[in-house]
Order: sequence, then C-alpha cells, then structure tokens
Amino acid sequence: MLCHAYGEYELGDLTVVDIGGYTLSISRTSQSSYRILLRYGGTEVSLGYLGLSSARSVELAPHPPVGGRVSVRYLMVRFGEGITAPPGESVTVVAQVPVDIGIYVRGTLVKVVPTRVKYALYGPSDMGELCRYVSDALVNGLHRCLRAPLKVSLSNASRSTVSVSRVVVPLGSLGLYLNGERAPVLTSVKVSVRSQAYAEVATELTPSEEGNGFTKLVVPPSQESYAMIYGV
Amino acid sequence: MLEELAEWARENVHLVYRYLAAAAVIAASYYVGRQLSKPIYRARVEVRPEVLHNVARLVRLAAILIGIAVALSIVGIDLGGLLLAAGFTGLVIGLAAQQTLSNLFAGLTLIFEGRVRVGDSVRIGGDGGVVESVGVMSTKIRLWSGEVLTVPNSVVVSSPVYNFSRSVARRAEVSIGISYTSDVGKAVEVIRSVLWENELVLAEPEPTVIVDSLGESSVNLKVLFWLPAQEFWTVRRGVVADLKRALESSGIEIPYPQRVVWLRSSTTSGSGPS
Repeated sequence: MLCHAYGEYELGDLTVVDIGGYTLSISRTSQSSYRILLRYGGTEVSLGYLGLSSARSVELAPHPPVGGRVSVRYLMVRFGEGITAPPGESVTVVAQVPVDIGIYVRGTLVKVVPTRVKYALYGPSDMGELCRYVSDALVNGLHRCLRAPLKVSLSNASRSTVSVSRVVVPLGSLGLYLNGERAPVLTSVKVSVRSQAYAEVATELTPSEEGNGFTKLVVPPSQESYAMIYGV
Repeated sequence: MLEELAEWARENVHLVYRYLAAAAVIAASYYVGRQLSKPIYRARVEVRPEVLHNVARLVRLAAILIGIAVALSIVGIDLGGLLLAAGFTGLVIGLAAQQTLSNLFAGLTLIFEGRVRVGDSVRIGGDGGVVESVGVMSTKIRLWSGEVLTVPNSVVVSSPVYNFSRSVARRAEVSIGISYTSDVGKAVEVIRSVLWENELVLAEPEPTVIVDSLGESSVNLKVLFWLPAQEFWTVRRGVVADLKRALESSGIEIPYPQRVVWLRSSTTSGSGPS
C-alpha cells in the first residue's frame, strides 16, 4: 500500500500521523475536545479544535482541494507550457493537483486540512474570481499520497489554432477515488475551447485513471460547468 | 371666557367635528405609515439595506402626506388652490434650498447607482472607513479611527471614491533599500522565495521585483504583489516582516541613511578648506 497512512485511528492523548511529510497531530485537550496541528517543512499550523463527545476514533482520507483560508469556488490549473490544439483537434493532458486531508468521524466529514495552498486571480480584480492555484512548481516534491492526477480533455471547437495555458475548474464538483494503492485520483474535466478568449469547462463523473483496480469512491463527483470568459 | 368658548362651540359644532376628524385622519395616517414601513425595514429580501431603509421612509412619508391631503379636504381647504400655491412656494424654496436638493438628488443617485453600499470599505477624499448608512441627504462613514463622519451626498457624488470592497484582489507595493555592497540578484531571489512561500500572496498576477532607483544610501527595490482584498492589510504586514527577516538571514544589508564625507588635506598651510 503506497498510501497506508490514510485510514482509521483510535484517538489517545496524542495521535500523530505522517502523510507524505505532512504531520498531523491530534492531541486531547479535555474529555471531549482535541487540538489539531499540522507540521510540514519547519512550519506548524494550528487547525483549531475538534469536539468529540462520544466518538473515540477518526478516519483520515484524501479530499479534493478546498478553499482554505480564502473562500474560493474554482481551481486554476496552470500548464507549464501552453497546450497547442489545431482546429477540430482534441488533446488530453494529465495535471497533478495537491489534495487535502479530510477528517471523518463516523463517516461524516468534519474537517478538511489544506496541504499545499496557493491562490491566483482569474480575470480583472473587481469582476474576476479568486481561485485555488496549481502549477508544476507547486506540486513538485509533493508525495504521491498528497497529489492526484486530474485528466483534462481539451477540444478545440474554434476555427483557428489555440494555445491553452490555464484551465479554471469548479472545485465543489470534483470527486475523488482511491486507486489500488490507496493513492488519490480525481475525476476528470472536459474543456471545449471556442476561442482564445472563451472556453467551457465541465466536470465529469469518470475518474482520471482507468483500469487500476479502484477500491473506493471517497468523495462523489457531480457535473458542473464554468465559462472561462477571460481567456485560456 | 369659558362661556364664550362654549357658545362658539355650540354655534360651530360642525366645524369642531371637522377639525377633530382631520386630526384623527392625520394621526391614523401616521400610524398606518409606521405600520406599513415596519415590515419593509425587517424584510429579508436580497435588496441593499440602504435601499430598503429609504423605501420604508418614503412609504411612511407618502402615507402621512396622503393623510394631510385628506385632512385638508375635510376641513374644507381647496387642494387645487393649495397645490398652486405650493408650486409657487416650491419654486421659491427650490431656489433657496439648492444645496439641500442637490444632496437629495445625489442621495438618490448613490442609492440606485450603488457606488457605495452599507458595509463597504471606502476612502472619500482623505477619509477612509466603513460605510454605516447611505441616507437621502448624507452618508455616514465609521472612520478607521472609530469616529463617525457624516458626508453630504453631493460631496460623495462629486469626490473620487475608492471602494476597497469591490475588488477581490489588491496589489501591494513595498519598497526595500539594500546596500550597494549587497548582491541585487540574490536579494531578488530571496524576495521571490518569500512571496512564493506565503500562500496568500497570489501566484497570478505574478509578483514583480524591480530595481527602482539608485538612492543616496541604497539600491532601491520595488516589490509588487497581489493579495486577496479581504486579507490585504494582515498579509501585507506579515510579508514585510518576513522580507526583512529573510534578507537579513541571507546576509543582505538594509542600510541606514549614510553620507560619504571626503576630507581633503592640504600640504600648504593656511590656504583652502580642510
């Protein structure tokens, strides 16, 4: 099992779990409350308290990226080099996206711990959208258990060649599977490029990897679309 | 005296009833106006609070005006003549109260245009704060220092207004002077690294570090980076402190103002400055 750290943990006075270099410590502060701390690369972040009156165990599982400190609804995937597609052609690329850590109590998600977070602005500063940001530089060095492939199928529906350097994806509709090695895999995305300035992005229900013995659907996906009106 | 009054009342009993009825109508219209405006104040609709507030006031005012009109007709005052007189009076008052009317129309413009809204962080002229209310005559701003500033609406409409709440992101600008002996390339690298490590400094638009000027005591760098508007001041403060720490620990000197003084010594005594 590549990602054996995901799973159920009995809570004692101090429970420490290391997931790919990100150490999550859950310490008891009273009979029914626990404090959560996240440590990574010399940084320590307090993630607040967890109130558990009767449950004595939690389950850790990967979760599709969430907003974090800033409330955002979209994920901007930046491709290192622009993806060029001639008119009428389709291209499929697989981007790596950091996943967050979900804390479940009796099967209910109670907290999401963001891991590698960065934000970007899509569009003008007054009408644009703040997005969670992903690029190669951000994912480089991240353990396989903390990143997931995201398949992006681009089709050029315009009459000229387009170069796509970024895609904005609705965050809330991304689903997440665990593959045979319990490593996270995100559901895929379809992009229809109408021009260099406009594209339609739609989330799909299918996982980004196929034929690798999926064992578990962790977060169910939904279908949602987004119109990229500020260019690709 | 009392007898005379009683005599007058007996003779003009119909008139007394009329006055009483008129007073009752005005009181009733005031009550109805209040009752009608109450649910508007409390309405849970997706309308800006300043619009709701002013609509409620207008409804109350309209109810009272209708009540007064009915009361006047009850006591037998000709409304047509009164309106004619009111038109002439209105013209005179309009000329005399230009400023008031200007504020009123500016207020209506503000309310319906939505240039500033309740809760917005704004700077109008030299004053900055949070908008507390937008009335028909004036706008109240709770200044950053806590005082409440009332600005006439005509001033708000005619002044440049910075509305910080309308942007989702804002650009921060920090100037840093490093010593002439420090490596500029290394300083830029350190600054970029600090900005990249801070999760709230936006990756796009990309931060920019430029060598801005060659000062008297330092090479001046300008650092431009974007932040989520709601976290602007907190993060900017933190970034400035992080930049100082990182530059110092990388051996890059942020110098004090300095002046090089050349002392010229003369070999011949008694002539020229030394």
